[in-house]
Amino acid sequence: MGLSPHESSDERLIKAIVAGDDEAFTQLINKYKHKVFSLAARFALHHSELEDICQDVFIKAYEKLATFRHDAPFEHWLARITTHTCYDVLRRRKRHTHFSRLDSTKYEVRDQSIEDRQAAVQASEFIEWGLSKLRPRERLVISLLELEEKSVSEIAGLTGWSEANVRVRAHRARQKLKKILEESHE
Amino acid sequence: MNDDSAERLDSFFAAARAAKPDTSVMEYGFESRLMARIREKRERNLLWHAWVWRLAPFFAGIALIIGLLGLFIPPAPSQDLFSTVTNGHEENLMVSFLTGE
Repeated sequence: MGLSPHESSDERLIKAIVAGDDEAFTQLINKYKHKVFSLAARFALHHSELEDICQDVFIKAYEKLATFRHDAPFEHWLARITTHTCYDVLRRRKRHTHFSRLDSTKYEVRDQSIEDRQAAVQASEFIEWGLSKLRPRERLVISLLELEEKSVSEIAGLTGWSEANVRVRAHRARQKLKKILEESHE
Repeated sequence: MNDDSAERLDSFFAAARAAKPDTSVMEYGFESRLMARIREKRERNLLWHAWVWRLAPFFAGIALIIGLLGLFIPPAPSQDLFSTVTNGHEENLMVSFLTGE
């Protein structure tokens, strides 16, 4: 196939996939599935929805791989597809649907005592409940900003929105969450 | 109150960040399930293409028959009064123009 030694492993895999090598695609999935699952798990309601989102992300990537220009890392491109797919899921979902966390989810809480772990899970459930009351675009922005710790410019890159727009939506989301928090403690 | 709730919200976010959903069970065998879905999709597309190619001669035959019928069967006379009246007139005009009368 005439691959140069300077090509990254992703570039090599992508060229092989475009040429019809399924094994190369399996390797690419293996490499990035954890990142896609971690991000999508912030938005999925249950396990089957999470599986659907992740499958959709990789199918979209597979179908559009031939159009992928290597001007940005593949990981960023895949993160953009994941973000858009999650946003579509949030938009399709009816607002204020009955809240339920990823069914029987186990949380990965590192280096903490049992009490801290319980508090973290409770806080996570509270945040999840509050987020379910936000508009899809607000939920997306605040989740990426506060839970995934992305910067405003990164979120702008992932969503395609302007940085000013991202800031406004994040501010609105925080105000709404604060209000929800105050009301829930009254 | 406002600062207090902002602080509480930040602490909730910090705790939620620490409690990442564990997706390792769901990730197990994901590539096999996905590849199966892609193969199934690909086969479905192939089947659709195969049918299109198989039906191509049939539609080509229909097009040929319609073309031949158009050649050998004269068109039905028009029931339109205007075209009946003007038919001869247009022909006369054309003859006059071509002969320079």
